[in-house]
Amino acid sequence: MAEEYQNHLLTDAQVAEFVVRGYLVFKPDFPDGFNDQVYEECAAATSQGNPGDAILERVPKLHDVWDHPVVKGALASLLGGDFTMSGHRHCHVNPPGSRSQGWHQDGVNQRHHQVRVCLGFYYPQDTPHELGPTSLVPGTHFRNAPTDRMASYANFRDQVDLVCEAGTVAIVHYDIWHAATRNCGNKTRYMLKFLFNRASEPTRPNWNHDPAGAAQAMAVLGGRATINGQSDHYKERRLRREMWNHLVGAA
Amino acid sequence: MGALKEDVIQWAEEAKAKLREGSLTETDIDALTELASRPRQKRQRLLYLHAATPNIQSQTLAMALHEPVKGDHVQIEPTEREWPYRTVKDAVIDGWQIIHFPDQRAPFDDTEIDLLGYEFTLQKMEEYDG
Repeated sequence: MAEEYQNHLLTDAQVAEFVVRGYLVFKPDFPDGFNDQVYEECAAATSQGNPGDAILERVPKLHDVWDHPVVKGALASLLGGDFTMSGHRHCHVNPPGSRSQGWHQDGVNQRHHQVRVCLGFYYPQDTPHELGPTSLVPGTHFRNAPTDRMASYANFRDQVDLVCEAGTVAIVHYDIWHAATRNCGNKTRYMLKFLFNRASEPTRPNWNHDPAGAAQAMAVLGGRATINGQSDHYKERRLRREMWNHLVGAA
Repeated sequence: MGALKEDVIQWAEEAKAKLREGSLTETDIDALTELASRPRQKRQRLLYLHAATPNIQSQTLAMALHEPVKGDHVQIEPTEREWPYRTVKDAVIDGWQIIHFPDQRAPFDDTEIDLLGYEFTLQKMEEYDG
């Protein structure tokens, strides 16, 4: 029997957008009060120190975030239907008065241009500019740039602040450049970061692939994600094609 | 208290307002004298500009401005982001001096991409309260 998430697989256009920009944002329909309850439970779970990976045991409602058909449909589209949740996860706590993080890639760069690990960011509270939204630089998931070498950057013209309503989930390529911004509001901002892994190589598109409409979606692969030089842009387009070909099972 | 130039500009604005009201006094002039005779030191303001190419006329895509005052901490701004200079040349016209140019001869790689943009470091020497 088909699982419900299969009714929420991504379209060609969404997958192409993920390939180009390195992230997608969703607003699943969680039940009334759900996000507030998670917020309170995260506050309690982190009040005596951050539980690290144990946040899922301390706040079991978080299973409902990642099991939501919209979220699961997106992850299955990008990582295959047999994707797995990593044992590593973190509740990022950004209290009022905090400074911004520096730009970083998580861990070390993966040195390939495939979708093998995705990050899931879930925000249990409304996150306006004042509350220190996550900021990211579109298209940087293709860049092999050690975090230390990013230390002299501050603001990018094309950075995107994930200003969002409570319950928003962003699915993000593992290598994208991102950072928490400063919280100049009066409330703690939580961001639950979970990791999801590909378990098998793609042999066909695992999303709502429409061969007739795919050409139009693939035209997106030629666009610009940020201001950059012409040489970089040519290389970027080739890397996008490489990622797309791997996802459709042609690589 | 910041750079002498900013302090004098602020004094002049206030003095003009008082002049219009007819309330400018000798005490205000003394304040300007006091301002000018404070111990000062030249300090280096630093501006990192990342441009799309090593050409100073190409578009800037990132910037970080470091002010030489205690407590200044450059951050990623989630709210107001000002882009005073569209190009590195615009910054030079505004008095910034380039003290480090990006290396034109980068390690050759015709397939991979790494950092975003080409980094120019610029300085302005200005007087601050010592």
